[in-house]
Amino acid sequence: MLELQRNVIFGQFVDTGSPIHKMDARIKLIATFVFIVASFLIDSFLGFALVLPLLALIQLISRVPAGYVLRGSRFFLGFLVFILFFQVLFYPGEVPESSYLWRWGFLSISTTGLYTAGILGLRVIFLYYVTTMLMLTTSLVDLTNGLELIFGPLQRIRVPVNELVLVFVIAIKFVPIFIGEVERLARAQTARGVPFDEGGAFKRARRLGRLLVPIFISGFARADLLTTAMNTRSYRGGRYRTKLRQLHSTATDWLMLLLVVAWMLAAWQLPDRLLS
Amino acid sequence: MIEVKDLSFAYRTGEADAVPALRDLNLKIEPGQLVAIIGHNGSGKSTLAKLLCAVLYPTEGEIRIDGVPVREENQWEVRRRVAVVFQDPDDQLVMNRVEDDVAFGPENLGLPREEIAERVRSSLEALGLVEIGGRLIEDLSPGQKQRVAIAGALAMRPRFLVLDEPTSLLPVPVARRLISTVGDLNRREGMGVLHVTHSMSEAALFERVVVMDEGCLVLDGTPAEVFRHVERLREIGLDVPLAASLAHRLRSRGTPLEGDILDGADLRNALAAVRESTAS
Repeated sequence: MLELQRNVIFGQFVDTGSPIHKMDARIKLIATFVFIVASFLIDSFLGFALVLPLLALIQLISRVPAGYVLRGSRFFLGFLVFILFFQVLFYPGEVPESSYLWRWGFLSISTTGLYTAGILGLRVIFLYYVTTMLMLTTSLVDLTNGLELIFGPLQRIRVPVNELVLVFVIAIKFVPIFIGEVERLARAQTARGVPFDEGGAFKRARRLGRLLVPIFISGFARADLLTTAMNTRSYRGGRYRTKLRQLHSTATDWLMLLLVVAWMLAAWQLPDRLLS
Repeated sequence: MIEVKDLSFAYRTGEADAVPALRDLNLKIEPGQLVAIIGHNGSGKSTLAKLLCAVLYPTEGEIRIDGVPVREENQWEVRRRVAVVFQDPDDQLVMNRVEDDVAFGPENLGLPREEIAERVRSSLEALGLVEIGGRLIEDLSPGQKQRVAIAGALAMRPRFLVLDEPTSLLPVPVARRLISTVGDLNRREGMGVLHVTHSMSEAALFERVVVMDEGCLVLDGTPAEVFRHVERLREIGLDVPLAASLAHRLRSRGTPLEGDILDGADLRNALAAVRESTAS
């Protein structure tokens, strides 16, 4: 049986009421942004090793079970390995003959290629982890309010911030619903004799293709219904809206942000200094 | 008051394959009335519900909600007066926490924060959701989700609440509890309720039943009045509740049953009365 719900957690929110859940969403968003920038700047294994303790600390404080996050990332990690495999084979880098470990036609494995793929993999995992963690610990409303406040100034140059943010938030809300739908369709087809868990990887992937069309159709139908429902609830764009909940940042929130910035600076700069 | 005058509606108007859904409908619903609109699939009952809350607009004729005609330029005025709850709560709940979702409507009205908080609190209270106000909607049962959807509609403080088959995905006991909660709301808040359903036993719980078939209004009256037309109802594919249909057959064979018979208890009482009068 195709079990997705437990294996894909992107976009889920797990309310454990931890200090991280209670943090100001704006601060969390900025911290995530800092992490994202850092993930592009850090380019050594040592740097990523330095990042790891902070991520472990965040995981611990958030009280979201680590097993849940790991299990929920299986599909993603599998996909990543698949991509890195090709990265290694096709992009050896501009290297001298001596660093090739294996070569066959245009396929090759070089030490530089392995190194680049390793760094790339860590970079992607880091990116994935911080964004997943942001969503696991921030409710949709806080996320919306935070994004709207941060990007609010853009409204002066006529960027429809409220609407864009709502589109983003609804997209996230639909992830678990879609996953449920894929499972339902897969079950319906399994009942008619389509085996989703047999055969090689390519056969399986091709069978999943059969789910694409029905998923698109039901996606459009749902989007249509939701739009109608939002209209009947008087949604007419962000301009007219007021907010029930307000965000408050505390001194601790700012300290946390400072910690994140300092830590990332260290992970970026220290390895070079140490090695030189 | 809802006034429906010579209302006709067709899907895809102007095209060759236009589908007429409603024909020359006339209907008046007083403020605070508790009405069930019943019909089988394709009778036009859901189309009527969508017209009442300005999701669709009349092709011909007109609808007025407290004097405001349902037209595109008045859509927001209409939606302030009529709130609607659809069949599947997953398609209408926007936010992921209960309180946040109930607040979504009032936030759209641009109300001050204190007022929103007040409305959310009282709506949650009215539906018995106070304890789960902070929970995630995806963790709730279908019945609870539907209650959240109703709380969201209630927080709009509408004059009329349109329920478009909100019980069709729920188990019968859960549906029953939901209907009785809606009845309480109607009594307490004086808000008109239009409940669209295909279940006759649910319709029996309302003060007025409107029966629709093929886009036309067929019967209109109290449940007792409507259930008397057993043959007519059967013709259009609706089942009269067992007790009412039994009473109808007994009467047609000459048993002098008194009063309105809508459920088992009514029938028992009426039969007991008959036995007493024959014994004496």
